[in-house]
Amino acid sequence: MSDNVILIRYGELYLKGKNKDYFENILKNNIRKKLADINCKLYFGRGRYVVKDYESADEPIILNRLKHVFGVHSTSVAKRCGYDFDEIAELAISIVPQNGTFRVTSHRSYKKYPLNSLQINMQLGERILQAKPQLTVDLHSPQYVLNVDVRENGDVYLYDDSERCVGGMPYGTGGNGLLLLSGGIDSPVAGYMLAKRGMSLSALHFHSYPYTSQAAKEKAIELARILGEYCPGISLTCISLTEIQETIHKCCKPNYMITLVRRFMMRIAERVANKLNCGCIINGESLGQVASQTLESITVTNAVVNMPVFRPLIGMDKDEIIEIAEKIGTFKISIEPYEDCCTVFLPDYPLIKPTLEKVEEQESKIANYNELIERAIENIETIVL
Amino acid sequence: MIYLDNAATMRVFDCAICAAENVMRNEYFNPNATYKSGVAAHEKIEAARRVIASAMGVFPDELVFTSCATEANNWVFNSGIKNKKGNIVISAGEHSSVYEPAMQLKSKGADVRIAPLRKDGTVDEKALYGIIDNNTALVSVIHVSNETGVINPIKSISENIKKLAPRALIHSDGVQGFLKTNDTVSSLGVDFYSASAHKIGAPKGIGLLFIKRELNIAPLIYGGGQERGLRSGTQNTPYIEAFASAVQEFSRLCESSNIQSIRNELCECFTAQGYRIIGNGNNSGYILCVCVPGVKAEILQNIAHDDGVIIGKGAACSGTKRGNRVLSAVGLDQKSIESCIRISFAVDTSKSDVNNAAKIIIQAAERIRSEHVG
Repeated sequence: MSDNVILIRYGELYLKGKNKDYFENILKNNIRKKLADINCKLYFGRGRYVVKDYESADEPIILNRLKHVFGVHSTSVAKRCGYDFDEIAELAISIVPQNGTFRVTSHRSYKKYPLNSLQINMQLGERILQAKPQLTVDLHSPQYVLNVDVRENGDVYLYDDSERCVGGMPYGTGGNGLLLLSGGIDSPVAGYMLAKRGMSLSALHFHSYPYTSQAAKEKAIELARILGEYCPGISLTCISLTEIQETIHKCCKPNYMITLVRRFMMRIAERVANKLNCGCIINGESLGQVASQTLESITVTNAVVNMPVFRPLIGMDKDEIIEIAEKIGTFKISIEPYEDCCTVFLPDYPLIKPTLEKVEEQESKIANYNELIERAIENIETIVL
Repeated sequence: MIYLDNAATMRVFDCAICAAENVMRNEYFNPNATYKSGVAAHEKIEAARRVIASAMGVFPDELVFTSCATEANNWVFNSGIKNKKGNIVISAGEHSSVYEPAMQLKSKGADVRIAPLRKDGTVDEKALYGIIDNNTALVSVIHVSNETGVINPIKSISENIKKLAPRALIHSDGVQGFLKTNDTVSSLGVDFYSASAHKIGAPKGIGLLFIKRELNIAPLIYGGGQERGLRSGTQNTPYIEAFASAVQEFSRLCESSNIQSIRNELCECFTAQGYRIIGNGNNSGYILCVCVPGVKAEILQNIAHDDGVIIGKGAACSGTKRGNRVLSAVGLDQKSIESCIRISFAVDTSKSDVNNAAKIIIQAAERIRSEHVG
């Protein structure tokens, strides 16, 4: 069993007022679930959660898992002792280095502790200097910072640094959203961004088999699995657009293909979202990235749905999106070269500035429009992740 | 389901499964152990090596078992060549497991030269000899193209290279050539030759490198000194047994195989449809690369699969990379490459299966064309 404990700090939850408990309870529950299969104990204090009594070998696993929990701002591996100052000093001396510069930074959440923070800093620093005279104090840019955290539960934690985690709001506190997951770079990042703000995700993937390969669908499944590390319980449903795309191809002008397909997608997505109790649609559109992501195209595709459509990447550059994709681990999967349904029946010159009037005119050429939507939804496929 | 993607991998022969199973169940001993059962296991490896060597026309001690042909090919390029002065020459028709190691050496400063291909899919010999000089340290030319099935005349190429660059070592990637041409490895005059077991009816996970007797080559993997110190790691006895068994079965079936005539008939059938055969050079008979104009190979592959025929589209090994380097080297533009399917036969593929498959492929292509989505 390890002598260490892991301190967990949460982020902006501390700004919450009377409903703070609601958010905290969900965060605690998410942490519990994330560590459910690891033999350890969890202590939830005010402003600090602590993981203790775990096997040393599990420490990196726990730290890594906590990096996938939204709401966790940072973690520290710490040593624990009681309030007795001699005990604190002994522990401090055992963990500070032999030489170099240092400072002590104390924090008391237990305000009745006989020494205030400044006194702890000074007295502990003095004891350390007596025991390790090669050390010198540097308050401005020390090589080593000994943090002392005096908690209200009788514990004092000593640690040197903390590791930033994902932050955000606890997953499940921000409603449910339906993510349109294409298999490209952007859509998993869009899902991640909303999940980071606490939104629970369901994912919807459109494919056009046999015009797109089975491997393209597998790619979307793999991406959903990776998102699942951050979004516990994320579901994935797949819908075939093959018949719809074939029909558009037969009935409408070629350069309207993408616009019309995306309007179909949005209509289907809204229906699926309602079925899955999702209150919004999320997609990875970034303004001006491709023909379907101009203001005019977005206006035309947005016009067919009533629920909010969130586009968290709308103002981001591709390299900014890639940076997040790399961080969350979706990038390498996303760049595998399998075509998605947007590249099927691709016209040489897709419409960049469609107008609602002309798009509706093209759409009116599809006699069985609603039937096509019904059939696509009837053949919905739920993937077990 | 009619399986015509045998260049990607072949169904494992029953006899090879039995051979592997027997070792796993009954003769599972470490072949490097000194007790009787271990020694017996070692003897089985040597017997298997003799079987394979005999089929190749080489000495058993010239063969080193590896985990796959990619390992064997990498080994050749990482065996000290980089420390030698001199240039490296490969053909533009090489499999990625030769091309990429060569590019790795290039990135470290080696002089790597690439000989172009002719339209018929063979290496352009004139151009090849033009870039070989006295300083050439290694030449690698694929025996049978994994994309087109075209056979490079390795024997005459080796003879000419030795005249131009007596110091040069010659390697040939024989993954699609082993047992599939009339050449024995000994007759090719090469110094290295790689082969893979799963292309001839053995399981995946076993391959070999032929290293000519008089050559000293640095080991790729160091350790317990197995495989005469050249490739450490406990030998994969079940799969080595299966490899030898598959070699025997493949050779036996070859005697009655009419794969060349099956391929020729299919060529005629496709040509009559206006399809274009890629690589008209001398062919092993086991691979047929066809460009189906106006049809995307990926869509054709999917529809054919759903209709009961499995075909390839370019090399499966490079399926996660865009484009096709080898077909580009044959002179195909991007659109034609996207329309290329690869049909590859097993030694026991039947004529009736191929005829049925041809009908399904043609129908699928027509359906795609009628949708104008190729």
